[in-house]
Amino acid sequence: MSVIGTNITVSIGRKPILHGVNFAAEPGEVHAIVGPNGSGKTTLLRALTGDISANGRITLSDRSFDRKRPWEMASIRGVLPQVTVLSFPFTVIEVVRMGLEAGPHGASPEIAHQALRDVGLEGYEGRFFQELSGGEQQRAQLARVLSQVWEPVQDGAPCWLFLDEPVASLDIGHQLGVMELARRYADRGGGVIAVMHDLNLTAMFADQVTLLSKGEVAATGEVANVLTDDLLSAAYACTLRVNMAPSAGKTFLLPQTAARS
Amino acid sequence: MVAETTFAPPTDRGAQAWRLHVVLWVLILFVSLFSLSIGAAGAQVRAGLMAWIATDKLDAATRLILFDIRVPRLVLGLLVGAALAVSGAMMQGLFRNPLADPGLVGVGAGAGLGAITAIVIGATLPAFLINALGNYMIPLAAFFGGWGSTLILYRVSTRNGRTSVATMLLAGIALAALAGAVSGILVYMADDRQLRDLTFWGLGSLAGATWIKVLTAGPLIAVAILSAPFMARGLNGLSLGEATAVHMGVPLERLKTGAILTVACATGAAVAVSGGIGFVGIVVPHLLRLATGPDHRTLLPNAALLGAILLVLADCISRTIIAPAELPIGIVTAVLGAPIFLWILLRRRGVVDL
Ligand SMILES: Nc1ncnc2c1ncn2[C@@H]1O[C@H](COP(=O)(O)OP(=O)(O)OP(=O)(O)O)[C@@H](O)[C@H]1O
Ligand SMILES: [Mg+2]
Repeated sequence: MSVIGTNITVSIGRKPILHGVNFAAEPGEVHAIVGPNGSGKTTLLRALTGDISANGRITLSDRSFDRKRPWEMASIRGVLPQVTVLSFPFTVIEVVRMGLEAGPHGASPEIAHQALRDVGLEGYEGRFFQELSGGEQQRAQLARVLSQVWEPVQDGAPCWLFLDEPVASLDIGHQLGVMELARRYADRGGGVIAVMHDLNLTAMFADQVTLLSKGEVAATGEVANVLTDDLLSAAYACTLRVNMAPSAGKTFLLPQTAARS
Repeated sequence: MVAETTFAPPTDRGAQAWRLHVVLWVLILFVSLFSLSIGAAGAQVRAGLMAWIATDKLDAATRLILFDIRVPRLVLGLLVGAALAVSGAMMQGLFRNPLADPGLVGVGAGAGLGAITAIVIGATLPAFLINALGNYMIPLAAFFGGWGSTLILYRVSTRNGRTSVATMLLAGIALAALAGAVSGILVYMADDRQLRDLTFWGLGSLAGATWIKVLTAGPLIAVAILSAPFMARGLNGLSLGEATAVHMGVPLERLKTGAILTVACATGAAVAVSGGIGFVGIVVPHLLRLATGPDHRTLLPNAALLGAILLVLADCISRTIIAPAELPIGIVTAVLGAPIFLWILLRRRGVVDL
């Protein structure tokens, strides 16, 4: 019932980008993929969702991706891309309804409105999507993805959210809001795989972390074991010092304490 | 201080679009009656129709004008208008771009090349083939021409699931030029009788409408219009990009193949019977998107109806404005449509950066 990628190798043109990456995510958990720019995070996510062809074996809930029957995948998996370009003047609610109707809850129109409330876009239903700000667009897209796989567990099987930098263009309040949504989705039995840049949010909300570096897995496992001084410093090519917040018991990292090497 | 006004469309544009759908059906009825009863023999037709309603008898002269001239022309106008508008809307959905129009980006020219090839080379085909194809030879050839050029255009202008507007328009110009050049060569090869056929065909009007033309173009156009709604949901998804469409369950390859075939069917059939009539495919979907939004589930059927209405009206203008002579309908649609095309172009700030 998990997402498993074994020995994923991706080359675009002649250029090798991922070299034998092993990846496994379980339902009920938030699994963050972190790593420096160009380390292959988006490429890994796109390989896992079947956007690009990859060597190796990729399965979702024991099924391998089948390009001929995409609607089956659509009912158990929502994918939020890093950026979305909309080519016709749809309104926000129309975009969210597209997601809703792509999933198994098409007969419950109130879900679209609830999803917009969840991402803090209540009252934006009738606005044109193309006239929203960048962060608002990203949240509207998240509402679309959420309403597609609204129930974290459907017919006894977990549903999945694949999110590429869901909070990159959001303000801090909405960053927390969206991460809490992801957390709740996992707590209710769904699986969340998110590409993240913010290591503090990752430490706060993720269960598992995969650290990518130059197209290879530098480390994978629980937050405390991956977000360590040595591993991060090596991956990000600067000396980083990780701290522990005394009250919450969560890892945190201050850029002020980093030293350029 | 200026009060801040934000324009918000009504939240339920879908219901509005279905109301418009009903209105368009009523309009089609009125426009059809109007078109039957104006023009050279208009008064006679009107009187004849009145008498028919009153006494249940239709005199022979009126019957001839009505059923051998007026009605086939009306039906052909409705079919061609619907075909042009639907193929425009489909192509715009497929290319994710409101400026894509079969007539503008070389698909019409490709279909034209197909038709010309059929007229000039067709006679040299084996006799059994000519007999088997009959009147369908020209529409079928136009269909293949349109299909080929749509395929080429899509391959050239779409990379990694994104379509570049600039490349599409430029490739369209190149395709149209190439198709035009080859057509020119074929015209040189044509003999006198073929030249006469070509001239009649190339007039770009509904003037030569006959029941035979209706029957040859009708099935192709009907297939296109009836299959279009099945692709509506996919085209909606496609407006978010190819990858996202797949993640929303759209069978991408099947959708693309279907849309390209539909565009080729509708354009090919329309070009085969009426030459090239431009701008209907751009103006109609654009007006509908402004009025009731871009949802293809309502856009496609409404485009068929509005396209039919507009083309029949344009035909009425072309028949009456310089009567007793007739203005080619392509000129009427261009005069009405070209300014709207420019307006779309100017309203989109960055055509280059898409
Ligand atoms: N279409 C492409 N063609 C060629 N190289 C590509 C392509 N897409 C990505 N790459 C390369 O693959 C590598 C990994 O890219 P990827 O987008 O996966 O990085 P990322 O980890 O998501 O980075 P970021 O943090 O900037 O989003 C980069 O070196 C990039 O240059
Ligand atoms: Mg990325």
